[in-house]
Amino acid sequence: MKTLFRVNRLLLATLFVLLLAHVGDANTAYREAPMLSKLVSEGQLPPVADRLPKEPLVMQVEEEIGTYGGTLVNVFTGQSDASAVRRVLIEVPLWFGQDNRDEIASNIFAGYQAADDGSIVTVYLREGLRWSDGHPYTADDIMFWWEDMLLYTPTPDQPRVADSIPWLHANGRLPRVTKINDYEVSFEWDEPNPLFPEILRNDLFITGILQPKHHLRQFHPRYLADVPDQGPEAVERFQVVLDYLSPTEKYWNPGTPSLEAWVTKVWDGRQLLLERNPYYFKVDPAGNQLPYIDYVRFDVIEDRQLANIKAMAGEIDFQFRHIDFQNYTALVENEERGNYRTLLWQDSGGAAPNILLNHNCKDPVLRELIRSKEFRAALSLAIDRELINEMLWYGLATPMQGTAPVGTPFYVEGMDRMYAEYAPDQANALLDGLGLTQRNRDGIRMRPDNQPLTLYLDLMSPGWPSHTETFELVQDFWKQIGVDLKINVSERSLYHMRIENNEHQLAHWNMDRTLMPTLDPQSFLPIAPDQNAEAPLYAKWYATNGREGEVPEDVYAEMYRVYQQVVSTVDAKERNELFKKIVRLHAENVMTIGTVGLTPVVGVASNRLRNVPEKEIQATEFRTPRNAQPEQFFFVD
Amino acid sequence: MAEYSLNRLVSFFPTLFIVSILVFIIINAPPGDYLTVLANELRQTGDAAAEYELGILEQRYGLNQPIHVRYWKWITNFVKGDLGESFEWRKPVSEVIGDRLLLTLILSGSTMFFTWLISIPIGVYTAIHKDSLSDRVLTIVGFLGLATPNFLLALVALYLSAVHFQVIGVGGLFSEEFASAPWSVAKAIDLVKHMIIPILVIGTSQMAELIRIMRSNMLDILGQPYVLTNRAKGLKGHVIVYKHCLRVAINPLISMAGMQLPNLISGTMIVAIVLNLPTVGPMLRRALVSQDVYLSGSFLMIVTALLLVGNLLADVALALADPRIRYN
Amino acid sequence: MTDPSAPTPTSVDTTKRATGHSDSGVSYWQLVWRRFSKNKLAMASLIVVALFYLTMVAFPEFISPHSPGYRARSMIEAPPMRIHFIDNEGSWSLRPFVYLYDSSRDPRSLRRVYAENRDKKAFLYLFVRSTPYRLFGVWETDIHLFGNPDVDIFPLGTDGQGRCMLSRIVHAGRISLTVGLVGVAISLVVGTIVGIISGYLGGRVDSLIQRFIEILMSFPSIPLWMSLAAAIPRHWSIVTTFFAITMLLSLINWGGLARQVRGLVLSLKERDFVSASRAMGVPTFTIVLRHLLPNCISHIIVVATIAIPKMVIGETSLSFLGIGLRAPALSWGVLLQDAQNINTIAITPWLMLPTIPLFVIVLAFNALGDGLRDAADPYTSHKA
Repeated sequence: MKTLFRVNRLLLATLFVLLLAHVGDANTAYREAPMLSKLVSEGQLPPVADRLPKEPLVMQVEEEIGTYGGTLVNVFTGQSDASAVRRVLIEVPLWFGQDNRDEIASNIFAGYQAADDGSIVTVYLREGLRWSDGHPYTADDIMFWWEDMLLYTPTPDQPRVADSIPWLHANGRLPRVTKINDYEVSFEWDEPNPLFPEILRNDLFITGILQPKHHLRQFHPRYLADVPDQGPEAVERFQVVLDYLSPTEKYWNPGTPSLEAWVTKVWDGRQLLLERNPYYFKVDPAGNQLPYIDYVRFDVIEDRQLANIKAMAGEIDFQFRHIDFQNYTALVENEERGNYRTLLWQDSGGAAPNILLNHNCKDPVLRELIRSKEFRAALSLAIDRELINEMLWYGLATPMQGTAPVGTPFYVEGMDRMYAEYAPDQANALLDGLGLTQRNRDGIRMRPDNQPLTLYLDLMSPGWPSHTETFELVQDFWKQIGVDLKINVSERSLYHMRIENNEHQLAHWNMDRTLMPTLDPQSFLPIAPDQNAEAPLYAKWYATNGREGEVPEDVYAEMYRVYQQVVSTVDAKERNELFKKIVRLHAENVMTIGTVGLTPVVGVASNRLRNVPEKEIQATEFRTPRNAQPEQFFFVD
Repeated sequence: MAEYSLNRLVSFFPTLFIVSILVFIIINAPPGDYLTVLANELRQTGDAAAEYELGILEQRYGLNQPIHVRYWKWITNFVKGDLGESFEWRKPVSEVIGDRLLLTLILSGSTMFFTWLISIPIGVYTAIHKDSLSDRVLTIVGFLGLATPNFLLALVALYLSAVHFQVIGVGGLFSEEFASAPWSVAKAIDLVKHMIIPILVIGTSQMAELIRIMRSNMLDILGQPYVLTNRAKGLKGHVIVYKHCLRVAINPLISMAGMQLPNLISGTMIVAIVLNLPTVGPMLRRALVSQDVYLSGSFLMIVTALLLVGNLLADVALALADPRIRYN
Repeated sequence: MTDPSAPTPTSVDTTKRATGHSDSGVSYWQLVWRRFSKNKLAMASLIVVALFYLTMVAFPEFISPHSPGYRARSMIEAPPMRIHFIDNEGSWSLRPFVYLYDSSRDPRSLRRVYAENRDKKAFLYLFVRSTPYRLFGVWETDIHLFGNPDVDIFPLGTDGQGRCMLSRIVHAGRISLTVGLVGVAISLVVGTIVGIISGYLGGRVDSLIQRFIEILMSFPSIPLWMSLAAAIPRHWSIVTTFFAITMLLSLINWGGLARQVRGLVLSLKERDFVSASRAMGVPTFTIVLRHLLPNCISHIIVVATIAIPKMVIGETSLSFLGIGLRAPALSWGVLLQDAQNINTIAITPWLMLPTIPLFVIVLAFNALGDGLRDAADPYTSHKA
C-alpha cells in the first residue's frame, strides 16, 4: 500500500534539481500490444523501440503486470460532460510523484529547473517523445502555443489570450519564453514566479500547453498562404485554433494528434470510442508499453441516474463520475448479478458542505454578529456532526471542522477538532454572552434591534443532494439554540449571481480543494467573488487588486497579508509552512463552519478489471479517477 | 372557401413571427447564459474551466451581443433554413436534431399506433356496456396509467428490465453494437426490441384519455335518434355499432391525431430521460437547462410551426365540411 | 380546434334552464343533484375527495402521528410496521398493535436491517398526546388521531432521515392538493372572463384573443414551464414559489377553457332569450351576468374537476424535472423526487408510497368529473 500523502514534505525542487524519475533501463527490450505488433509486421508502424521516447516513463502497476486487450466501457452525459473523459485520460506536463505525491514528478516533461529566486524556469522535454501520429514532440510545439496561440492576435483590437491568464504573470508582467534547443524551453520573468512548477502539474491551470504545431498550423492564419494574418477572415480562422486551448477539444475531432494513452477514433454523438496511442510514452516495470487496454469507450447517457442502473446491470467496466453514494447499498447487493465490485474511495475535501456565513452581509446587525467569533463558534458547536455522519453517510465520513483534513499535506494538528464537538450548552452560553438573551414565543432569540434571529440560507439547486439533507438537520440543531434557519432554494446561476452581488446571508460549498492551497487558496481565502460566499466583497477586492470590493478587516486582513508572503516565497517548504498559518487562522477563528469531511466516494469496477486501487483519494487536484492511472488497468478473462 | 383559407394563411405568418419572439424571450429568460451555466456546472464538479477559456467561448458564440441582435441573427438565418449552431454540440442544429428526430418519429408513431389499437376497442366496449362491471374495471385500469407518475413507472420498468430480466441492455433504443452502426435489418429488429418498454410506459399514460374520449363519443352517437331508429328497425346491434357508429365516433380522434405530434415530442420527454432514449426530448431538456439557445429555440420553433400547420389544416378541413364556420 | 372530449354546447339544453321553468317544477340544480346522487361511483368519489381535503388540507397535523420533520435517530429507512391483531401466541387483541423493530446493519452493504421483535408490543391508541402543533395555526394542542404515547410508531416506515412516511405524505398532501384547487381556480377565472369576452364581442377582439390562445397552446408545455420556472427568482420563500408554480401550471390551462366557454357563448348569443334581451336594450354586462354566465357554469365545473388531477400530476412532473417545489418544501412531487433513485426501488420501495394517494385522488377526481358531466345534462336521457 503506497502512502497517499506524506506530511513531512521533501524539499521541493527549488534549487537546481532535475527530475528524471524512473528512467527505464536502456537495454530493456520493450514489448507492445498484439494489435500494434500486427501493424509493425505489416510495415504500417515503426517498431516499438522507435516509437517510445529515449527514456520512457516507467509506471508502477497497482497489483501485477497486465496483459493486453479489451475495451474499457464508461458513461458520460455528452459533450458538456467532457470532464468525464478528461478525468480518465488527461496528461499534464508534470504530475504527482508515484511514491510521494507531494513531489513534483516528471510526466510529459522530463523535468524542470528553477533558478534560485524562481524567476527563471526551464522545462526539459522527453527526447524522442512523439505525438500519436508519429510526429516528434519538441520545443517548437511549446513555442507555437506561446507565440501563435497566446500572443498572436488577428486584429489589433482583440486582446491577446496571454493577457487574460493570471498565473502566467509575475507582478503583472508576462514572461519571455525562449526555445533553447529542441528539448529545452525557458520561461523568464522580471520577478520571481515561484509557483510556476506547481502550476505545471495542475490540470486546472496549465490546460492547453500541449499543442501539436504540425497539425494546428493547417488552421492558423499565420501559416496559411491564402489568408492574411490580420483581418476578419483571420479572426474566424484563428477561432478554430483557439478552440484547441481547451484540452478536451481533441476528443471531438478524430485525427487530432494527442500525447494521451488513448486517441479518439469515433465520436458520433452517441459514443466516443478511443483507440490506444501507439506512441504512448509510458511502460510498465517489465518494459511493456502502456496502456494495456486497447480501446476506451464512453457511451452517452441522457441522465446521470442511468449510470447507476447501468453499473448494476454490469454494463460499465469502470466508473466513478455520476455514481451516487446514496445507491451504495443497492450497488453492493447487485454485485454478483452484474459481475462488478463496488469501490469505496475517500474524498479529500474538508467539509461537505462548508457553511459560509457572509462577513460582508448587507444587514448591519447580522454582519456585526457574523463577524464575532463567539457567534460563529456557537453555531459550530450546536451542530451534531456525528448525527450527520450517521444519517447521511452511514458513518463513513469524518465529523470535523472545515479545514485541511488529517493525512493531507496542509493538515495542522488539532484544527479539525476546533469547535467541532457537539456542545449545545456551551453554544447557548456563548450566545447568551453576546447579549442575545431575549427570546420570542417560539424560543427564537431576539437580535439587538429586536428582530428575531433568523438566518437565510441560499441553497443551490441543482446542487449536492447531501447538502440539502444536511441543512435540514442543521435547521433542527440551530433551533435548539434559538437560531432560526430559513432555507431558500436558488437556481444555480442565480445562486452565483446573488453571491457576487452580496445579496445573501448564508451559503454553502464543498470544501473540495485542500491539497494545493498555495496555488489555489479558495477553500481558505476568499478569492472568487461569485463563489466565496463567506466574504464576496473581500474576494472582489482581492480579484480586482483593490479597485472594487471592500478592504478586508480583522482576521481576513491578516490572512491576505500572509498569503501575499506565500506567493512570493521561493522556498517550497517555507512557503507551505507559511500557508499553514492561514489554515490555522481560518480554523481557530471558525471563519467558515464545517460539517463532515473525508466523505466516502462510490464507484464500480468490473470483476474482470485488474490493477484498480481498492483505496484511493478523490481530489479535484488529482483529477480523480486519473490518479488511479487507468493506463495500467487490464482485463483478465 | 378559398378566401377563408387565404385569410387563415395570412394570419399564419404573423402568428409564427410572434411565436418566434416569444420563444426567444422565454428561452433567454432564465438568469445567466450558456457559458455561465456551463462554468457553474463545471465548478460544482471541481472541473472549473479557466477564465480565459470562457472568454474565448463568449466571443465565439457572440454571447456578448445584446439580445435583439442575437434574435435578429437567429431569425433571419432561420428563415433561410439555417437553424444556427448548437453551443454544446458545436454542430449545426439541423445536424444535431436530425437522427434524433427520426427516432422520435418512429417511437411516437409506434406509441400512437399501440395506444389507439388498445384504447379504441376498450372505448367502444365500455360505451356499449356502459356502467357494467367491466366498464368500471377497464376505466380504472386505464386511469392507473394516467395517475402513476410517468417517471416512476419508467424507473421501475428500467430497474426490472436491467436487473431482473436481463434480456436487452439498460434503456436506450439500441444495443451497443448497433448504436453507431448503419441501418440494417438486424438493427431494426434490435430497435423494435428496445421499443417495447418505452411504448408501454408512454402508452399507458395516454390510454386513459383516449378511452374516455372514445367512450363519450360513442355514447353520444349511440344516443342519436337515427341510431335508435335503426336499432328499432331490427338491424343487428353489432352491425350498427361497428359499421356506422365507429366511423362517426373516430372522426374527431383523427383530427386530434394531427395535433398530437408536437405533444408527443415534449410529452415523452420525461420518459425518454429516464429510459435513456436518444430522442429529441432529453436533448431539448438539456438545451433548455444549459441555455443552448439556438438549439432549443430552433427546435421549439419547429414544433410550434408543426402545430400551427396542424391547426391550420384542421380548421380548413373543418370549414370544408361545415360551411357555417366560414361566416363566424 | 375543438376538444372532442368536451361536451358540445348543444348538449346542455340551455333554453329551459335559462328561462327558468322546467316541466317537473324542480330547479336545474336539484335535478343535477338528484341525478348525481344516483351515480354510486361518482358519490363514492365525492366522499373520497372530501376526505382527502379534510384530512390533508385541513387537519394534517391531527391525522399524522408525528410532525413531518421529526427524526427518529435509530429508525432510519425502517420499513412499514405491520399492524397486528393476533400476537405470536395466537391470542386476539381488539386493540391493534405493532411489534417494535430490532435494528442491525449489514457490515458489507451497510443496509439497515429491521426485524420485528416479538417481545416488544406497542398498542395503538386513539387521540394520543405527542408532538404539539397549532391547529389552523391558532389553537395549540398536542392531540393526534392515533399513535402510542411512549414509543414511535411508523405505519408506513421511515425515510433516510428517520422521518415518518405517513406523516410526510399527509402533510405533503396539503400543498399538492391546494396546487390543484388554486391553479384551477386561477385558470377558471381567467378562462371564463376571456372566453366570454371573446365569444360575446366577436369580430376583431375575438380573432385576436383566439390567435393569442393559439400561440399559448401551441407552445410545448414542458419547455415553457422549464424556461419560466428557471426565471422565477428562487430566493422567494416556499409560499411565493408555490404560487408561482401554480400560476405556471394554470398558464397553459386557461386557454383551453377560454376556448370552450367561447364556444358556448357563441351558440348562446344567437339564442332567442339573449337576442330578445339585447333587443330590449338590456346592458351587455347584465346579459353576461344574467344569461351567459349561469348557462356556462355547469360546463365550467365539469372542466374544473377534470383539470384538478392534471394539476396535481403536473406538480409532480415539475418536481421530477427539478423545476417544481424543492426540499425542504413538502409536496408529493418533492417526496417522489426523493424516491426516484435506484436505491429506493431496490432497497426502500416504501418511499414510493406517495404514488398511492396520488393515484386515488386522480381517480376520484376523474370519476367525480364524469359523474358531474352526466348529471349536468339531466334533460337528455341517452347517457342514462
